[in-house]
Amino acid sequence: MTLIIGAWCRDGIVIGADTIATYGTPFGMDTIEQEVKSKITIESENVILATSGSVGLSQLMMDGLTMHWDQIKGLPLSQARIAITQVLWSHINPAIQRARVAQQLIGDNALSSAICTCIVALPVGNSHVLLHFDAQAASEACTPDLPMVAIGSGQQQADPFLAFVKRVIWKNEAPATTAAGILGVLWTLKHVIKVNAGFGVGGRPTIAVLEKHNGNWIGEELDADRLGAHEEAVEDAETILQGFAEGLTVSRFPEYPNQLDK
Amino acid sequence: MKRADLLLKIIAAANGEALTPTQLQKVAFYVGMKFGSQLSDYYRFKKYDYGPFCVDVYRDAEKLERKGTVMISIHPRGGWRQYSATLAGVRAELNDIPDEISTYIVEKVQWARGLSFQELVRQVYREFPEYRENSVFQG
Repeated sequence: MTLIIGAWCRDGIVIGADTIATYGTPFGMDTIEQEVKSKITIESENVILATSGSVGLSQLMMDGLTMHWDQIKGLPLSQARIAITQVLWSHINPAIQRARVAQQLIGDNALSSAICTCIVALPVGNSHVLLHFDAQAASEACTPDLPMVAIGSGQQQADPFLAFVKRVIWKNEAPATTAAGILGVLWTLKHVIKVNAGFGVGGRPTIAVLEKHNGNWIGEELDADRLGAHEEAVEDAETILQGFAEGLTVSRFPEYPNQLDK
Repeated sequence: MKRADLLLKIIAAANGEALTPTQLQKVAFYVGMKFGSQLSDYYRFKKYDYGPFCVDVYRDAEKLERKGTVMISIHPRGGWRQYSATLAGVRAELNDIPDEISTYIVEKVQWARGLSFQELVRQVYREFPEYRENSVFQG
């Protein structure tokens, strides 16, 4: 179980993830949670990958992309999307076939090892693309109008908060800078990690960015040095909102007792 | 006058209380802008997500931690690293630092600690708008 968030920004891409991995039995019972260092992979210096779902299938998919990356890199976007889909599907399809057989024996829990979705951030030509591949390896590209995507068990909590971030912080468009993207993705991750109940999202927020440095696209996972100020910014934003709300707690009608206190 | 001594002076000026990463960065930046001509090998600040930033500030703080004069801990709610002086750090004799700079550091740390994150960053932008370029706060 997991939460991965991607945000396409005008000048780059931000991908964030929690750090909790969930163990489980073949019969669908979750057993333990373990913290991992990171769920984000950086390939060939400037391709950022993150997956949600079956860990085993995810490992095969990532290995497959690594093996084929030299051929995929440099393709036009439409061809790159098809090529990535083919690589992912070459691993997903056999897993689905096996799951169908196993389903007859152990029920729908068998399907869990065949479900995996992923996010890929990569440079294409002079620009940058954020792709989401669903459980059938079909791709969807984020756009300036729809700049963010969340996958994993935490998605149902992340999506409404991301919508708030997009509307209020990003002014209803794609973040102008990766700095603004980091703030929004980090705030969402921290919120879901804090309020998460039974969705298997936890640990620390981790963030990677794809940015242009001296004309070259570089992907890097952010360390505490760069994340620190964003963590402060999130706390400050929440404090400001709390301060705003404090002005609303004084009753305009103190002569009316609170019915709930009776 | 070593830059690490100035950094220790900044951290110790909080009298054992913790400085946030932004307070540490911005006060170190102000010291450089005010006394740059007197300081050799001082930090070089770049335009970053929230204004001036120099990663060497953190590296030097980590060295001070290894020497036992600074403690780096994690803010329990916010998750960021925070920097405070140990007793040895507060008592360290930093005689090479001129009184004028020492006094400025103490005042600036006190000032920065009295501001919210946003107030501090915006104040830096007001005084040094050239550092706003890559910032989250464009308004």
